[in-house]
Amino acid sequence: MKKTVYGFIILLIFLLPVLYIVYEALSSSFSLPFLNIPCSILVSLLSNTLLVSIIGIFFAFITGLGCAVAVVYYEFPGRSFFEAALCLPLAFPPYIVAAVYKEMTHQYYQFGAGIENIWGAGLIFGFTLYPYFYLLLKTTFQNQSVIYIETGKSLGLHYRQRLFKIIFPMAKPAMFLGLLLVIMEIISDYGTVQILGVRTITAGIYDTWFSMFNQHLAAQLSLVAYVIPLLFLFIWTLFSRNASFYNPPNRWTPVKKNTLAAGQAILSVCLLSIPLLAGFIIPFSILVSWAIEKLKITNTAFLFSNLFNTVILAFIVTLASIIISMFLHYLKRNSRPHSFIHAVCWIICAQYAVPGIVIGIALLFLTSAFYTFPGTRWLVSSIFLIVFACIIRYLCFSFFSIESGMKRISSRLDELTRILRKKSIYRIMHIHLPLLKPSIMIGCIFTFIIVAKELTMSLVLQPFHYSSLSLRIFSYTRIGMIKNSALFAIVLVLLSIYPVFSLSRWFNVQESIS
Amino acid sequence: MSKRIITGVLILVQIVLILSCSTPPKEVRVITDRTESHLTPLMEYYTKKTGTKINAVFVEKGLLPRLEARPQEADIVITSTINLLETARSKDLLQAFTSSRLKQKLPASFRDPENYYFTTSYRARAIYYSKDRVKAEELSTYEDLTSPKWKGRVCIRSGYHEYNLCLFSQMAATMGFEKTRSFVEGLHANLALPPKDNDRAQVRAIYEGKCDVAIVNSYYMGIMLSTEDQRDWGLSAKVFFPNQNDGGTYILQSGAALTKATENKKEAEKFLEFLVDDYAQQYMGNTLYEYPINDKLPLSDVNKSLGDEQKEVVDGKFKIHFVPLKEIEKYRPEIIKVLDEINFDNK
Repeated sequence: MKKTVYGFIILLIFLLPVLYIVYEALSSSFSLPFLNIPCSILVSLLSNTLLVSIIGIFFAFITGLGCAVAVVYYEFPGRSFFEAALCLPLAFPPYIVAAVYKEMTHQYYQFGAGIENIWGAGLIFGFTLYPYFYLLLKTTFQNQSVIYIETGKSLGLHYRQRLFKIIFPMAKPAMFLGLLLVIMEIISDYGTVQILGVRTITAGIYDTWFSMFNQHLAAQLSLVAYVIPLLFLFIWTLFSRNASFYNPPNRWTPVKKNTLAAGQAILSVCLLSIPLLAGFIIPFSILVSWAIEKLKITNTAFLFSNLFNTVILAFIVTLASIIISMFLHYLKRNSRPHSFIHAVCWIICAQYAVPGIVIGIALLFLTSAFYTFPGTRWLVSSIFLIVFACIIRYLCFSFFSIESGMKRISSRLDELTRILRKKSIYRIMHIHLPLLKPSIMIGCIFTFIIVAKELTMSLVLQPFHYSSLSLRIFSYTRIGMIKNSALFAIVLVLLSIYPVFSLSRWFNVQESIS
Repeated sequence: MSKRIITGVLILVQIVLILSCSTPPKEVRVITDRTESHLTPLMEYYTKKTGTKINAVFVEKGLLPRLEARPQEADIVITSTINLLETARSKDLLQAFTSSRLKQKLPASFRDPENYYFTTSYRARAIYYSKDRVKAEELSTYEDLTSPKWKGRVCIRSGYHEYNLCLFSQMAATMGFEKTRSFVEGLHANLALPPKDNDRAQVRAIYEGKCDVAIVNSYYMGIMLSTEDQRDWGLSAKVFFPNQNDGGTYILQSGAALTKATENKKEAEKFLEFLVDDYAQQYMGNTLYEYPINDKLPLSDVNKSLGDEQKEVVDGKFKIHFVPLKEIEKYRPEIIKVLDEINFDNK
């Protein structure tokens, strides 16, 4: 009973923004929604969003899959370097990459079509978001039981047949999770599409809310943006209802790697360098050259305070997310499958599908009452609101990371502590936490780098006299002076480089524990 | 154990309550959609001179919804498009200023008749044209940009941007809605590129040869010429003040107002007075390249040279088409409807 109450309270808090949006969307009229959006606008916003998503997902998927296969199944010079380095584009916010490439195409290719179109946006997303696919697929491939592959071999399947009939189908859940993450990132993105002049649904929400002052219409559009990823999720559950992706854990052996011949090795190194160059090395070196060029006129007075604000925000959100995720898992582990708590966890993680701008605006209006009382005003006039918004949107990263670790802890260990009549806090502190350390670290890293890059919610909720690295960079970028903020961008990327590099390491530690 | 925790939390809440209640506002809080780097030097100067701290939040977009959600958040609103202030007033978010100094300094054309808001500076929504490919004689009015000779040669930023909404609405208030609709449609038909990016990017497109004329604010010329990376863009184009023989060029006004919920009216009004003082006005003229509301103040050198190929424009002084602000806001919904219908931003 107590669990249900806790679950209900947490659910309500996390659902606040969506409930507000539903209320706004329905309160305009009780006629059919969307009647007051001109059809052509809705169609073009939706088709732009879908096209960018499809192109982005296509490139991200192909790149992520190729990299994961190469790194897991083959041995070639520099393999372990690529294994870690291929995650590096995660450290780059897509809008900075977009701004860098836009500036470059203007400087050196000014008479061509440039990248300010749907294809450009899709490509940028592909190169910056492929690490999601890469990391998920890499872990799945590494964990896949050899039993399946050996069975395939004994049934006389060729190498390629094994790949397409056993390995890839078994990785479907990872592929789907990657697809969901990428599509949610693209739909909720504001900076990148704004810089590239592509009007996706977020641009529509911005314009209807901020230029037309039509919050009902904006809320209706927000719901559309929220529903698209959920639709994918629904379709997936429908299709995978009868499928199971069971992986026998107790006979895990490292994947045997095929050593590539010299020619093939050179080719794969070249191919693997493409995403690394496009998604990290090129934009980073351009930023460095700009920072040196503009060092004299760059206003470094704000650098440390902006860095401090970014780190503090990311740190608090990370810490809080881990604590909440642990609490949710504690509730979940003690409840039956398909219970209310499981549904709560699922819904909370789905909040990642709410575009940042929507959470921002909803919280702005929902907390307006707090502003009238001096006693609670500090709460909404500090970074607390941004922290809150980030926790709502990004909790799924820590939750899923911990979940992957939780699944590996045998329930027999829990039973053992019960037999020994230890309190549940003992179980968490002395058994779960040590075993979960790598999963928690992965959750921390993901949450930290994503919050450090966060822009949209900070734009809406920023308190007085506040700025962070991403806000500063965006304010320069929007007036076409990205070069002057190159130093800030470099600092933001450097902040995430170490965590990103150590991601691979923690993934490996996680394997060795299980 | 739990009792101790509860007591601790209660004490903490008490401290916070006492702290938050006991600090009276000693500063002026400003919410603005103007560019941070433009406004900050002015605020710092004011703090240095008077000791009053100016605390600002720079909201790129969504100034009005934010003010609506938190009316008590700021003492002063400063915006780059004054018509937002008319909307804010209609939502009962502003209060009239009472300072006699303000009333005395502000010309009637730059202040709301009921003193709810006023213009701090203004700029022309001008036409930029390529130095090499277009002659000043080929240009005349905004409406002329819809003629077939400009097909595929015009650039403009998003139609939904405040600057354009304000221009189109002023046109609707002047020449009627139907004529404005055909202007917007004609302009859309003549565009060289889909409307996107900011005003400077339109001039850059002229520099890159992607279009020959663009509708851009006048002060960007000064800003581009004084920004190292953008100098070439500015040098490739010239500024034309349209409709000089026909009503005048439309202007966009930056404005300021007192919020209804201000707890600090006296200090806030002092800062508003400062904004119309010669120092601030000259700053806006010489550093931001806008036009001061006091026409006795000298124009910056760049602004003096604008429109030098037009005989009607002498020393950069051009004929302004004043449209009452209440009239401008009236047409916003209809203009947006037209933009939606022709899908203006999707070329």
